Amino acid sequence: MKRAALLALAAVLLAGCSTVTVSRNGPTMVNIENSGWYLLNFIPLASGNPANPNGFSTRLFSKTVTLENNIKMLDKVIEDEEAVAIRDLTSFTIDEHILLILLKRHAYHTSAQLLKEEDMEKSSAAGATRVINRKKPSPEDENSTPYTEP
Amino acid sequence: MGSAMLLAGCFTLDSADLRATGEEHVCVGNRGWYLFNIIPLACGNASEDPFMPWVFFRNDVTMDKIQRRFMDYAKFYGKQTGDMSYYTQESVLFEIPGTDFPVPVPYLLTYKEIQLSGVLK
Repeated sequence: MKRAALLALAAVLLAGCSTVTVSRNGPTMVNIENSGWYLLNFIPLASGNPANPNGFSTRLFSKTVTLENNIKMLDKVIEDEEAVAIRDLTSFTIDEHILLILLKRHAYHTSAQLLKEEDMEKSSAAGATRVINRKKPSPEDENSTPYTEP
Repeated sequence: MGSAMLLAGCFTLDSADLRATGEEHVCVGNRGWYLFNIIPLACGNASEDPFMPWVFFRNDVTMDKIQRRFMDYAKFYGKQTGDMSYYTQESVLFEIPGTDFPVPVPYLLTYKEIQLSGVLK
């Protein structure tokens, strides 16, 4: 019983996580994080599920912590927020090691400012890039695998 | 030796297309280990045609080298750059692996990481 509880706790602690946070206090800011655990630096154990951010779902033995998946999540936020432009898009990674190379936590962070139509008149819109593709994905696109594993 | 190589860090160049704007987002990064914060021990190889993913006793974790790779990438695809932003991380207290106890001598063995992200239009 104790062993099962420890295993369950370890699984929860090791689970990857993908999070999308949108802040609307002032300009609309979006922050995306996807993280995962690796054995011996390369073997993926568990990573966040970019198809279901902010949910308790984890992808096992797949490498979903990529810039490409973060950008796909950002594309979806742009559509959901009905943003017309975007600026200050930045990304970075953070690695943490446990016992040298035994375990590694790899996280990819992406953030950007989204602009609505009413924001375009303000000075904060300087340097922003207009959204050109507002087309919702077709049913065929939705049936295809939207997130990739390298 | 194997652990050292795996920990040496590696040079990375990631890119992804933002469908909404048609732009390409690029993230370039490099990491390395230093003795006394000055002498480079091992880091990712930032050369364009690397013989090995790592280099030893050469400092490739610099803004100059990372930005040059970023600009070369943009030039190769004939695109303009924007939203360029640096992220740096430095650890000057080497922690005993698996513990939260740092070796009580700062700058003995240090870790440095520089990343540059930007948008190609």
